[in-house]
Amino acid sequence: MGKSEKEIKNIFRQAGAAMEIDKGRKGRAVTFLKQAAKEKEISLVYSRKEILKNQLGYMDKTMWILQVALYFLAALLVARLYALGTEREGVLAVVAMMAGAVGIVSMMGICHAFYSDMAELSGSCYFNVSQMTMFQLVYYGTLNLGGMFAGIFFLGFGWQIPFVQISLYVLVPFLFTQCCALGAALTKAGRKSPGLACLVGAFAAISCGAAASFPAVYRTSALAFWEIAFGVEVAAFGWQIKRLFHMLGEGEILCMN
Amino acid sequence: MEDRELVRQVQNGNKEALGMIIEKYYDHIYRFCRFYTGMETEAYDITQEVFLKFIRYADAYRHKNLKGYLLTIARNLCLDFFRKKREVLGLENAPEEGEEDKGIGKVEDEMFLEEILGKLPVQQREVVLLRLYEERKFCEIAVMLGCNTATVKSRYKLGIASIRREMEKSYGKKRKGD
Repeated sequence: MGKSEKEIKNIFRQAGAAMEIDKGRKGRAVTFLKQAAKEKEISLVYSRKEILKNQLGYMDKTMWILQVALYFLAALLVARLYALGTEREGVLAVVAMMAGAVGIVSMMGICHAFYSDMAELSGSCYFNVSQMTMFQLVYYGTLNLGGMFAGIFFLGFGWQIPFVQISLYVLVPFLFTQCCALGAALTKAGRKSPGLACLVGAFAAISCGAAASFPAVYRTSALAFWEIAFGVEVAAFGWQIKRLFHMLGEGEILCMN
Repeated sequence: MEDRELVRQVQNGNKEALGMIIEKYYDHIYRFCRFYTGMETEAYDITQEVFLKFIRYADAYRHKNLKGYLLTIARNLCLDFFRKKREVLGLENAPEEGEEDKGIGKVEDEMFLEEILGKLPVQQREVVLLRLYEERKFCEIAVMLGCNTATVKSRYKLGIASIRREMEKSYGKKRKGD
């Protein structure tokens, strides 16, 4: 009967243990290797936490502060309008413009890295522009979702508007403005100047505000159009984000200067 | 010190940690190379080259398994060695891979094992070594060799079967001789 695996393993172990290693030869090799190790230039390697910390440190916080300030302003405004007993259409027109403004600021925050030449630091500071952009997207996305839903809840409660409807009335202008601003920011002209994205976004926000002031848009029969608009905007926004990361990957953003 | 801590120290610029890694794994890598090639002098050279490569790319090291990483380098360098030997000597005249280098003062078991390993095809030899001697899991070996686990298991089974056959032959001859 053949040897078992265990027996063969033992033979290996014994043979390995019995294998002589020339101490002199080993000593010379180890000395040589240690010398090579001493001469080796080791560039500091940051852990992921440290890289993220560095990136957060370099990020411009102005847009973050502006975004939070906008939400506070929106909250104060809506509370004031509630206290004044303003009609639904009036409030929703204001909310549409505020949602648009929030959308513009989010886009400016995400695209800010490209305008401030920070992208060009990627080689020296262990920056990863795609990572940074993703972080910005997650940050603004989280903040916006939280802020929006708090507002939606208050508006729905204050003006007795069903949750689904009020969500559409807020999110559609928000996404519309974001799509317009991001679309402008991704053009050649838009990448050179943040003013263009701001202008386009502002125009979109005002348009939404104007459209939202018409009572006809709040009819039940108009709900289907809101839903379609929401679906189209989500798809368009997703496509634009994909395009943004594609441009980052191709280096188009970095090469703009 | 644990491997993870050693690597962290290296990447923080502590060059002495590199020396500690060399001290820790030199014998191990040498024995692996020796079993793989069956040649003493070449095993020393390859072992040194393994650590030189590790030192060269220490900054970029991202693997979680330091020993596995070193064994992968060793295995690749052993294969390179066989390849170069074939190129230098020409295919017809290439010696059998793992030809035994008869040194002085070898223990019987070691000679026996080297002889048997030398008869195995390289693909089976490396799997048997990594599994039985280095005690790596099949999935780890698959990653190191760049093939799937089923292939590794298959080569291992064939390798073990060959080793058993050779041992049987050898013990049979011994008994006849006695």
